[in-house]
Amino acid sequence: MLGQILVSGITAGAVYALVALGFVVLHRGTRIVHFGLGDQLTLSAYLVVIGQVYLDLPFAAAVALSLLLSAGFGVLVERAIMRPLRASPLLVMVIATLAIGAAIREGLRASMGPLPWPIPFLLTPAPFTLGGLVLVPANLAVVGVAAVVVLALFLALRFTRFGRAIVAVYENPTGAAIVGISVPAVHARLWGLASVLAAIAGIMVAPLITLSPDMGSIGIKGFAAAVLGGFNSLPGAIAGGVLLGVVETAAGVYISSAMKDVVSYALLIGCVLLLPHGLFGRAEARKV
Amino acid sequence: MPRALLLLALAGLVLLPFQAPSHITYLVALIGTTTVIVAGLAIVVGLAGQISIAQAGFAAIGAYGSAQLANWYGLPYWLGLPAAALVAALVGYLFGLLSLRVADHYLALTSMAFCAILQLLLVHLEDWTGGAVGLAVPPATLGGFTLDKPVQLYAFIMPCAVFATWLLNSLRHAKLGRAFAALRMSEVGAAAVGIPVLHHKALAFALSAFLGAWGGGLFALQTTYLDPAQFGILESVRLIAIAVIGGLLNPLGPAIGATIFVLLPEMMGGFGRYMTLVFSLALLACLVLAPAGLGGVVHRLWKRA
Amino acid sequence: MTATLHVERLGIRFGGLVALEDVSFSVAPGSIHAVIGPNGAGKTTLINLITGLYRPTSGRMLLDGAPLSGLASHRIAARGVARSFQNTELFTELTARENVLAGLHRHLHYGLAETVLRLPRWRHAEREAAAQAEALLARVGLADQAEVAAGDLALGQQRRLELARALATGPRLLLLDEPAAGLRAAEAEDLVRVLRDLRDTLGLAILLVDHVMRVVMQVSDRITVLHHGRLLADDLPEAIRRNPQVIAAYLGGAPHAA
Repeated sequence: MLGQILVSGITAGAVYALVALGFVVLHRGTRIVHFGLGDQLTLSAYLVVIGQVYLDLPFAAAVALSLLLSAGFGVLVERAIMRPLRASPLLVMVIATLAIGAAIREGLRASMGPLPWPIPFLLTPAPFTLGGLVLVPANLAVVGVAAVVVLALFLALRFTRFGRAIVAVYENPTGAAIVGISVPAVHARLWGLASVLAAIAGIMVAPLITLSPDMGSIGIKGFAAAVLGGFNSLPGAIAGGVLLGVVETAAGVYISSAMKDVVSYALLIGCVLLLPHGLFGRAEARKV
Repeated sequence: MPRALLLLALAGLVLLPFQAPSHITYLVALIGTTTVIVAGLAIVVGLAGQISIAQAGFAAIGAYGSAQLANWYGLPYWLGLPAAALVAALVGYLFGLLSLRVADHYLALTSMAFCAILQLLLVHLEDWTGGAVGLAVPPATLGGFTLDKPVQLYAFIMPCAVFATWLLNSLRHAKLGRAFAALRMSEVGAAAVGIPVLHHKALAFALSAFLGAWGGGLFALQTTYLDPAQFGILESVRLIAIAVIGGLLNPLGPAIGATIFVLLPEMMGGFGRYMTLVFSLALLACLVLAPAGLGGVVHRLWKRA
Repeated sequence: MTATLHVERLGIRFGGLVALEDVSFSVAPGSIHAVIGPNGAGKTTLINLITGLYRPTSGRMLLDGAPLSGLASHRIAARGVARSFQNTELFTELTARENVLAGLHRHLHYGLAETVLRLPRWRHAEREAAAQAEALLARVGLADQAEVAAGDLALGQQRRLELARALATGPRLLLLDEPAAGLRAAEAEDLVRVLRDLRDTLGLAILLVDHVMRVVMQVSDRITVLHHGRLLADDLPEAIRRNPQVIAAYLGGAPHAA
């Protein structure tokens, strides 16, 4: 039983981890919590459907197109909305990101209809048994892709100019500006990067749940994962995602499947109250 | 502010049900209901500067609370509605106390999770709430009369909306409103002049929850059927949009925002399904181009005149 | 006579960093007391301790003999301690008048119902408060700026507004964090006059922290010198002026004893 919970939990957790990474990647550099990221995830999944159904593209090409457009969308949001609001009070930025989410959701509802759309699995959903555990290839693919994405992200942050500029802005924006890194350009990249991470999560999770305009509510799970991880730590986001996936699955089994979501939201509130720096994050100095 | 214009508008509100078809009366009463709920947001978000994505949850407490008090105990609305609103105010106060530990983004997140939990409970505590199927709201009665015609509800709802607007206006000239504004701009400064910051944040949430629940109870009477889907995070975000577009710091802001959000979709007809999209984009444009909201624009025009 | 403020062996550390250690001094009623010291001496930390923004890790503070340690900021304000801030903490979108009215918060006794119904209690209290605000604004020379948003005032005016707001709370002890910084010579003269006036007409005890020696020497009845978080000297202005340790500290040399 425990093994089965772990397997299912890690699948959900892999998706949460990617969404949480999107939040953290963006927040660490820009101080913005993007309340519309969950809806961007839906948008990206719809873009795959649009590519397949309306443009007759093969699945892989549709995915590539979706990722590209998602990145572009993120950059566009930064340029058109968040950059002009840079000096606004936090309240205004929060409302702006909420409005971005609402615009995506309602735009999709109006143009694609409120009903679910089919979207293909990465691998077959037919389960097989291995050592007493029921495994689903489609779920294993989700975990595999997430692992590869995470690895690629960490390598990119470490070894590419693109990534090192981001890390420099994370560590010290003023210093980064002094050595000639364009901070606004990095912010645009971070919006693109966060959008792509959300897109990957969206494309993978859409077949597992159902692709409808309201799928973005999964974003709040990503929040919970990011909060568990401390909201400023990339490894924390991953650990928080996996932990949330496992706890939620366990709650579904041992308490009731109806209360599964209540447990994860309660976990979010409890963590914010009792462990404001998460399980893995570090306290940041604050000037009084 | 031109007082004559306001009095004229009030006179229009009094005369409206005698002249207008009942469909219009219903819509204007819906504007009234929305004004009450959004007035609460204007206090907590606008005046006190605390981000709350939980207003739909407080409206749910008022709606389900007053309906079930009537269903279970036969409590009349004029008692059940204040009772539910007071419970919501208490919950709001306790929620506000959480701001001791969390602020800014985290407060927004926490209120969002709080709203989501409330909605899930509405769905899953079927014995208490009717679950996902929904709940029929018994009509309000007053001394043997049943209030169920749009005109009767109008007469009950509009004074509440006028009162909520008056409350917002009064706060601007009182210690409580100044204390809210003070903690929005500088918590350290507020504490330094002896304003208990935490208590006032909690008070702002309590007042906001009270108005939210009151409006929720009115909404229940109007729709006569409650569905958990009406009280989620999305509804909270819609309410914030109404508050912002109306103007967060203008006492008439909630009424202006509610009028736009209720009437425009009606006038658009078949274009209606794009309305929420249009509103979201309008909200973004509003934030980027006119941060004080439409109410702010109106206010500026008045000042110039 | 009990001191208005008595600070005894006060200390605070942030993590491993000692910001203040073993600081003791007293502020006499109706006197102007300056705390000076080079940057990083712990002057602002001292004010933040007295007003409850920080909790001391050792020592105690007494206001007219009653302990202040451990009280929340707003309770300390209610006891009669008002302050200004180095970078002003005004309510920037409120007008100058509303800022002072916010300072009168604790002295307004009416409820929400009385406000909404516009009952006489609300009307009288607000009318009286408006008159008081008017007088306070006049006192600091801002009578003509009453309707200007605080954020739109010039720096010197903002400082004076913060002073008026602090006075509105009805303090016994006024703490001023670098009130003279960045002021022009004429403005500094004004400040000296205002501070003396407050001491002599209201009988306020004033504790001010500053760098501007000309103002400090001119206005202070007593001076405490901090250096690296420790008490270096506590004496009359003339004695401080001649104190070799103080001179050494200000010229950058290390003092031989602390």
